Amino acid sequence: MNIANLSFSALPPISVPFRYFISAALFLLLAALLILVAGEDIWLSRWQPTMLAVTHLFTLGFVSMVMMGAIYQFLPVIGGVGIVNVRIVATITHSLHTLGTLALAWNFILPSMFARVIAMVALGVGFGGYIFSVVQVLVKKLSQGQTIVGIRLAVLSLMIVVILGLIFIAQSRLMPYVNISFVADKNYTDIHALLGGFGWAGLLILAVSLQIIPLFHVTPNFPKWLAKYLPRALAALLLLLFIFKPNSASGQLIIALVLVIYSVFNLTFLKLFKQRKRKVVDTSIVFWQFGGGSFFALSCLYFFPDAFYQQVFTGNKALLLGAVFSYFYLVSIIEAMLLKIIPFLTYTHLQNLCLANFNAMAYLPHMHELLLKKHGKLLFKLHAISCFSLMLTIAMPSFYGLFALAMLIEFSWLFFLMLRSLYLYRLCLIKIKNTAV
Amino acid sequence: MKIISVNVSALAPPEPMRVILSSLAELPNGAVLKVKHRREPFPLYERLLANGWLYHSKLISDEGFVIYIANEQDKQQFSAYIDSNT
Repeated sequence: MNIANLSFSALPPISVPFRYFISAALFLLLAALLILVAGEDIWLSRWQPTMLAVTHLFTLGFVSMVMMGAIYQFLPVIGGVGIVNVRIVATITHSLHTLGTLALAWNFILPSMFARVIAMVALGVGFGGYIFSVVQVLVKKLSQGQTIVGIRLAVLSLMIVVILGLIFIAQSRLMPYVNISFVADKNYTDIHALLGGFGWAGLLILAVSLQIIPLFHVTPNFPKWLAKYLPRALAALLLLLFIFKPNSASGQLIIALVLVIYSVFNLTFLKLFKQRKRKVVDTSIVFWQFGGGSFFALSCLYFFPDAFYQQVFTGNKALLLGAVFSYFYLVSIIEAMLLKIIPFLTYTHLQNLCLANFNAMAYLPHMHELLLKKHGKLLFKLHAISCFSLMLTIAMPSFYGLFALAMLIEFSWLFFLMLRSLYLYRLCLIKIKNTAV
Repeated sequence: MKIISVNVSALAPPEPMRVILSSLAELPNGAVLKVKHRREPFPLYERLLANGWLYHSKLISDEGFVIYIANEQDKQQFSAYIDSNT
C-alpha cells in the first residue's frame, strides 16, 4: 500500500480560497466606483493616473486575487501537496495584498510618499511570502507534470512582474543609490504588462485548463504536444522581450507569435468543448466560448492598421487591446472558472464530512442548488452588457457612466452568488453537525 | 476478498466522490471497493485515512488509475490481496 509514500496536506479550509474570491469581487466594485467618479478624461490614454489605478485594481485586486486563491485549492488536488501552514500564510499574504493594492491605487490618484511606501512594503512582503510558500510546493516532485511545469512558469512570470512593479514604485527613492534609470524606458512597462497578462495570468489559465477542462466538462484531454510545448514556448518568447524590446520590430514579431501560440490554446479548448459526449447546456462553457472568441478577435485586431484605430477608437490601440484581453478574455475565463469552483468547493467541503458519518449524505444539497443555473445565465448576460458598454466607452468616452453602472451590477451579482453559496454551506454544515451529535 | 467495482472515470465532479461515498456506505464487511478513476483523487486519500479506511492506487494507463479501498479492520487481508493482485 502506498500510504507512507505520500506527504500531502489537507485541502485548505473553505475560508482560504473564498476570502480571495470575495475580495476580488469587491475590488472590481471599487474600480467601477472609481470609473464612475473619475469622468471621461481617464479614457484618453492608458497612462492617465486614474486609469493606472483602475488597471491595478483590476490586475492586482481581481485577476491576481482570484488566481492566488485558486492556487491554494488547486495544488493539493492536482499535485497532491498543499501549502504548509496555509491558514497563516493566507491570512498574512491576503491582508498585505489587499492593503498594498489599495495603497497603490491611492498613490496613482493622489501621489504621496506614505501611500507609496505602504504599497511597496505591503505588496513586496505579501507577494514575497505568497511566492515563497507556493515555490516550496512547486519544487517538489509532483504528479500531473505538464500542469505543474505550466504553474511553475506562471509563478516565475509573477516574480518578474512583481520585481519590475516594485522597482517602478520605488524608482524615485532608489535612483540616488542604485542605477535603475532603465525603468524610465516605457518598454519595461510593456514587459511588465505583457508578462503579467500572458505570463502570470495566461500561462496559469493554460496550465490549469489542461486539468480542469477535461475534468469538469468531461472532454477529451488536451493533445500531449500542446501540454508539453505551448507553456514553454510562451514563457521563452515572453522572456525574449528583455532582449528584443516590445517597441522594436523584432519585439512586435515576438508579440505576434505570442498571440498566435496563445490562439492555438484557445482554438483547442473550443474544439474540445465541441467533442464532449454529453452536450449539456452549461453557462461556464458559454463563458469559455465567449473568452475564446474574444481572444481570436483580439489577435485579428492586433494586425489592423493604425488608421482603423484613429478613425474608430481615437488612436487608442493599446487601450483597446488591453481592454479586450483583460475584460473580454480574462474576466470571461475567470467567471467561467468561478461558476464551477464556487459550488464545487462548498459541496466538496460538505461531502468530505460524510466520510466520517455516512448518514450525513442525506443532508447534502444537489450541487446545482449551491449556484443555480439561472443565476449563472444572468451573470453571463450582465457580462455581455458590460463588455458592450466598455467597447462603447473606449470609442466614445462619454458613455463611461454606462460602463461603470454595468460593472457595478455584474460584480454585485457575482458577490451575491458567492455569499449565497457560503450561506447555504453554513446551513448544511449545521444540519450535518447536528446529525453527528 | 469480495471485490465491489465502480467506474467513475466518465463522471464530472462531484459525482465520482458521491459514487465512492455511497459505495463505501454499503460496502460489506471484509470487502474491497475497486474504483476506476481518470485521475488520482488526492484529497480523498487523506479523508479516507482520517476516517479508518485504507487505500492503494495504481496507474493502469495514460487514461486512468485504479484505487482499491478497504476498511482498516481488514488490513491484513487487504495487504495480502494487494500483494497478490498488483
